Amino acid sequence: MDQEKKPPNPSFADGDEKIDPRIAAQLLQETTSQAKRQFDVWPPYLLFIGAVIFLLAFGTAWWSVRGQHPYVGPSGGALATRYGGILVWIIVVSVVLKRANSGVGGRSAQRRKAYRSGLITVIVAYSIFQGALYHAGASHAIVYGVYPASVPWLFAGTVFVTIGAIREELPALTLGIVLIAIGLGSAFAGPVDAWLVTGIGLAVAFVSFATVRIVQRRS
Amino acid sequence: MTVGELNPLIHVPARLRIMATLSVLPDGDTLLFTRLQDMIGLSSGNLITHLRKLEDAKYIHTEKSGNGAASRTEVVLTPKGRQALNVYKAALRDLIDGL
Repeated sequence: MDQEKKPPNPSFADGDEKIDPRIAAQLLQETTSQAKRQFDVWPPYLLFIGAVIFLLAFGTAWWSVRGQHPYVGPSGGALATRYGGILVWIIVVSVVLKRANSGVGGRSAQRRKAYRSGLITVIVAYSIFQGALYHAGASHAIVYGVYPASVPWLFAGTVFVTIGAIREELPALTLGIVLIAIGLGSAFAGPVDAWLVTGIGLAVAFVSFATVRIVQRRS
Repeated sequence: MTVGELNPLIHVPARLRIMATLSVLPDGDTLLFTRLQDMIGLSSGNLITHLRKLEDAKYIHTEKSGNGAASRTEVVLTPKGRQALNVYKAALRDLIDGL
């Protein structure tokens, strides 16, 4: 089928050699842990990177709008930092997902397509709606403040809650609820502080999720 | 419970690792032969031999698609295989507890 590979441990080569039950238990535990790590699409380090990126991206936007009277929105540099940060995040996540899902097919592949379609719809709908708000004469505080800082998370949260509920996936459901809470919290914070609330909210969510993953791995 | 009562098809290092690796995937998910080989670290000949034994017992199912260099083989743990692994794990625990 494929080129020959040397086994890392001769004792795992061929043959039907029996093993001590304690060694079997250890082998089972080690193999399972190793496989879980290799299939993990949300390793803790990725979540910590996400926390830093989103805190920087939204923190920079908040920094640039502090004290604006009237509110005009984040500066060009802040927008570049925000979109650049999100782009870096998307690239990093794509690389990790590709590596973890390499060779994995079946139902999970279909599930990934459903999530991808949902999130692409969110991004397109979010952008069009922002244009509609601008067209309808909404203030800069709404179009360039409350809306971009909070609504994407309401949209994305709704996707995760819906898919999580349909598929009975608790992590997706929890993530959706957390994203909606962040979106609502930042909406109430107003156009200036919405950026900060979102940045801190996402960073805390990522760090909490990473901590849970670390604890799960150790238990 | 004695060592001899453990499922002999699973109680072999290579097959135990194959079953444990496949069991981490959710029900119905398949794994390409090449990725499984990377993870287990067996030669393709050895891996094919062990997979054949597991498939004969209906613990796994393999499906080959394409021809020649473009061919790909997907491996999936069957419900029977998952159940057999769970029974094996329980038996192993009992055995170790009794030692």
